[in-house]
Amino acid sequence: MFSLVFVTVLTFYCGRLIYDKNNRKLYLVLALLGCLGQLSFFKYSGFLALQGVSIFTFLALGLSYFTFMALSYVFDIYRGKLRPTNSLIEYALFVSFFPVITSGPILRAVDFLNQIKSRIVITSKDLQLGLTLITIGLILKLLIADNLAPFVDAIFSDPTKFGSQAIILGTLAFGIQLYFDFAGYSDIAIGTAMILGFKFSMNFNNPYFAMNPSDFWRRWNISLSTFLRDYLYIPLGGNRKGTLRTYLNLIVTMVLCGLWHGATWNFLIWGGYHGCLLCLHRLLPIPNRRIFLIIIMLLTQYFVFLGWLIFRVNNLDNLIYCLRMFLVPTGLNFFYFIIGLLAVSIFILSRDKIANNDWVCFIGSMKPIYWFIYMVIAINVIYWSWPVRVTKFIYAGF
Amino acid sequence: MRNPVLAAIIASIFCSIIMILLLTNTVIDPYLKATNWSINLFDFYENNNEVNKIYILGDSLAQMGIDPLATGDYLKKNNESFKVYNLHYAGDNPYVRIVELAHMARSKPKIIVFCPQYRWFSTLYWTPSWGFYPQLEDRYSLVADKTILDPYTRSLFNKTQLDLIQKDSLNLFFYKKRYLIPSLQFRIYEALSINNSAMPRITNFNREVWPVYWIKKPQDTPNCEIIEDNNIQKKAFLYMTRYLKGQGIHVIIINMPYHPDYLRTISNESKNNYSNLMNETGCSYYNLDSFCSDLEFFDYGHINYYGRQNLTKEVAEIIRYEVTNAPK
Repeated sequence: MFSLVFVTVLTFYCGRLIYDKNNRKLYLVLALLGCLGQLSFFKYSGFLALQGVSIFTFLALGLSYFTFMALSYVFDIYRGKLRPTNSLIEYALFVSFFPVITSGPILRAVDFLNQIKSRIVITSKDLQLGLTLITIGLILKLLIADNLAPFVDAIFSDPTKFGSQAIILGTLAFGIQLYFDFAGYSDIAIGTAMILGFKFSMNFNNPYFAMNPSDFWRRWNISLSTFLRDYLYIPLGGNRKGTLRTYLNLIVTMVLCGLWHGATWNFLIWGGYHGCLLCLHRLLPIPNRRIFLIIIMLLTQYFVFLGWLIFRVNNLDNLIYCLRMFLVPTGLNFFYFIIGLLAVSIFILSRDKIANNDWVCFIGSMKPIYWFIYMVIAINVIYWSWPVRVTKFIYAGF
Repeated sequence: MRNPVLAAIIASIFCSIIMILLLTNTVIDPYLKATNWSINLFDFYENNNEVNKIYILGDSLAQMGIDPLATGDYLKKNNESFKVYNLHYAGDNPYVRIVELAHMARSKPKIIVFCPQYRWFSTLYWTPSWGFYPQLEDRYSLVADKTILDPYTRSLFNKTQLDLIQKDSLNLFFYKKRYLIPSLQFRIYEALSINNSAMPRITNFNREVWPVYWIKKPQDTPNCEIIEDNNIQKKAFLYMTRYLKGQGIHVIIINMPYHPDYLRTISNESKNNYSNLMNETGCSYYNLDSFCSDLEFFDYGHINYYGRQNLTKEVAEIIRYEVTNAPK
């Protein structure tokens, strides 16, 4: 609560002072130092404590999300894209907007404050679309993510007990769990906002159909990746300052992206790893022919899932063991391998069918009688698939 | 209703609730009633009004070792009219069984025959890290709205365990939904008249035990030597026997037979500790650990058809003796 109030008040007044044109940089730095300082203090003191420096271990709910949302406000004012709001209440509503505060998506001040200024109208269509999104989000979370969680937890609680096959399956399951957990939450948040009359863009766009690492980051946690692109990568110089500097910017951006997730070594390595993947993608020419579609997509997803392995593992010893099992697999069942490969290939080949259909809009714009049938099915699927032990949203921990 | 979307929302919630209630009451509940041991056992405790009844409590050793029908017949032949019920659980132990204590006492049996074995009080059965969670969940989650625990019994369990064995009706209703798929399968099998051995129907607790003819060498069963003071099984067992005695129920303890090869692996110190514990209960204690010959077993302690005939007769005789000589 203290963090939330502090960040809200600091960025609100810094935003106004930045807009006044005098000492703009000073106030921007002040807001940055204040926000990132409290974020570091609350989020990373645990990490220092692990290294032997005992400070304070406490993590406020949604700390990373509201801090970044507040920073987007001062950045946009500094860049001249937004006029500061005069209402502290409106601004506080933005920073603490309840559907997104725990797990995102990270809202942009421009989008939110412009909507709140205009008259909010809740239409039947919004209600229908919003509820459709909420039910789809709940189905993704409860039916898929939560039912995969026990399997993933069993493997990664002590991966050294398992061989290559289990580690690979566990990694695949975790990638699916993470996507459906986070995409599910994002759908619920966006759907809830829609019912309240706010419209925000989707946070995911079929990330496992990505054709390369850059494409992946254009599809995964879009609100965070665009935040990092607009407020970190581009201000660092982006790709305008030469090849070497571009690579450095990519790596710095992705390392900070990793650290945003938490103060542990595996997030740091995961961020650096994705930075390297983005650099490699720029370095290596990728053939753009359709015939290579399956291979390129498989390769991209192989590296993405290798990243999830790094993301999920609890400590460095386990990480080394898991990487060995993942990269140099032993004792794989050839039959299952072929079946798996076939399943993935069919999944990839059906890409156009799955990705090009906007199922949410289709369901959300059904006639009420058909939508009623959808809702009865959805409520029943949610109820019956709801595991007895529900796991927390994974991204709520960040 | 003017707004069709709003009407669709309200109607869908209403219809879903009806569907959920219908499925739970007409598919899941009958399946659980037909197949779940604990639900039937608690119903039995609550609804069995027989006056002269005897409960046999124990694990699979008692399940295979004592035939309640034959025991009842033996008593009848000796002019003692009792209905005998074998209320075993596979893998039973006092720490888990204590959850039933209040119901057991309220159902007012004349005699309770405990059939413990050495392993109940060994590290195998009371290692705290084990937690007993799956066992407690399997046995008592579906009757968690009925369980009654007194303060002492509550003190034996931690919060997670208590959450498993005590639930309000609403939580129990939500919990039941995990049985939707097996109950549908059960319904389909029943409709197609397929006998599914994976889902045996619970008929009653006073029935002939199925014959077991196998004769095998004892399995390599881990040895269990330790009976320590902080043993939670010991605490639970002492409390159960004393509580039941306090309720005016005659309690008999019969140590079950073991294969001679297995019995040799248990030290004299363990046997002494065990005997001391049984005597500490103040109940009539009979040690039948060497009662059966090696040809009467099919593993370390489960006896076969021949063994059961002999053991049932012996147990019936013990009960007859106790009935005749017990203070009225």
